[in-house]
Amino acid sequence: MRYCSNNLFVIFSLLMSVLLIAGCKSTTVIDQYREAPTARVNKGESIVVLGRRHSSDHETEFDFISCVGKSLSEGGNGIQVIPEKLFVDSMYPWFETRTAPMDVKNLGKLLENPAIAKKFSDFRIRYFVWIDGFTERTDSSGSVACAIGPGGGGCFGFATWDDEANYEASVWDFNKLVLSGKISAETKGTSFMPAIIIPIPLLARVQANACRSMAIQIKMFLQQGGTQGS
Amino acid sequence: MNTSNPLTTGSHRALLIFFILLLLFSSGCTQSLAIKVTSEVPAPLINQIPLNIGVYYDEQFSHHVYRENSEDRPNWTIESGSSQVALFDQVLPSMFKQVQHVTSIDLSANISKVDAVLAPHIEEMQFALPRETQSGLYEVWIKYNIQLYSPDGSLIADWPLTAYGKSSVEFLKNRSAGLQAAIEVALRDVGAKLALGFGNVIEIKQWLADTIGECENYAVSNC
Repeated sequence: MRYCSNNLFVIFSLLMSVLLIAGCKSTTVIDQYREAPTARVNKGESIVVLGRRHSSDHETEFDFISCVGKSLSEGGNGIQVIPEKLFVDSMYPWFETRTAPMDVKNLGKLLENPAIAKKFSDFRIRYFVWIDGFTERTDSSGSVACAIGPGGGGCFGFATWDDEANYEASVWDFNKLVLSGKISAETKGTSFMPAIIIPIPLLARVQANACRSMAIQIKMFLQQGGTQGS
Repeated sequence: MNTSNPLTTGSHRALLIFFILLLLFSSGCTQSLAIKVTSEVPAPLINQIPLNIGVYYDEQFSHHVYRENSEDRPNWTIESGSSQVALFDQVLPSMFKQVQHVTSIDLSANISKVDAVLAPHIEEMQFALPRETQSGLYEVWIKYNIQLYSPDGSLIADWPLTAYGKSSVEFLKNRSAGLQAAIEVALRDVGAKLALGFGNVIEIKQWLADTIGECENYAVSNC
C-alpha cells in the first residue's frame, strides 16, 4: 500500500516537473522599426508612456502601461518616467481617449497653446511612447471540478489555456516633433492547472513577459539611437 | 459527560458549511445593483472666457438617480447627482472668469450680475455589460442637454452632448467596479467635450462674438 502511494507521488512529481519544464512557457517576438535617430535621455529629462484606448473593441490595459513605465525606470540605466495618470490629469482634457493626438503633427499643434507648452516644459519631456494593444485568451480546454463534503473537499482535473499579447509602441521625439520609430512585442504562452485535491496553477506570465520585453527594447531603442543629445 | 454523537456533530457542521456557501453563492449571483458614483475630474487646462456665468442645477440633475427594474436588471439604482454637480463645479470655473450657483434661470428680478446662466440636464443614461455585448467591456453612454440662458431668462443656445465611457473586464473587478470605472471615464468625457466644444456651438459662437467681440482664444476651432 505504501509502495503504491510512493509510486503515485513519483508519477505526480514527474508530471509536475515535465509541465514546469515544458509547460507554462511563453515566447516573445520583438520587432523594431527605426524612422529617425534618437538621442540619449539626459539627466533631468523624462519620457511619458501612454496607452491608446480609442478602439471600440479593446483598450490598452492601465496595468500594462504602468508595468512598462516601472520597468523603464528600473536599473542603473533607468529612465525617468512620468506616471500615465499624473500626466493625463495634468493635461486634462487634451490627452483623453477622444482628444489625444493620434500623430506627432497634432502634438505640434497642441504646443501652439501656451498653457500646454508650459506644462510640457515643466515635465521636461523628451519622448512620448504610445502603446496600443492588449492581452487576450485565445484558447482553453480541459476542466477542473471541485467538491466539498462532510469529510473534506478537493479538486480533480486538468485545465489548460493559451494567452496572446500583442502590443505596439510608437516613439515620438518631442524636441524634433518626429516619429522616431515603432517597436512591437508579440508574446504567446500556455498555462496549465492540474488538480489532484489541490489545484496547482502553472501560469505563463504572458502580459508580464510582453511588458518586460517591450521595456528592454524601448530602453535599447532610446539609448542606442546613434546620436548624442540634440 | 459529553455524549454528543460525532456523526451528528459532523452533519451539523456540514449543513452549516452548505448554508454558508449557498448564501455566498446566492449573494454573489444577485442581479440587483446599487452604485453611488464617485469621481474626480481634474481642472481643465484651457483659456478662461472673460465672462461671469451663473449655473443652475435643477433637482433632477443634482440628485440624479438612474433606476431600472427589468428582468435582466432588477433593482438597479445608480446615483450620480453629486458627481455630476462636482464635475460641472470643477470644469466651469476653468472655462469662465467667474461662476456662481443660481437658484433660478430667470434672473431679471435678481441682483446677481451674470452674463448668462448655464443649465445642464441629463436626458438619458445607457449601460452595456460584457455578457450582453460579448466585448469584454463595460460601457456607459450619458446624454446631456445643455442650455444657456441670458439673465432675463431667454434661451441663447440649447445643444446636446453625449458622453461615452468604457472599462475593460479585469480579474477581481466586479460588475459594480466595472460600471463605476466606465461612468468615471464618461464624466471625464463630458468635461472634455464641454470645455473644448463650448465655443463650437453655432449660437454660442455668435453670442460670444456679440458679448466679448471675439472668440478665437476661447475655442478649439476658429469661430
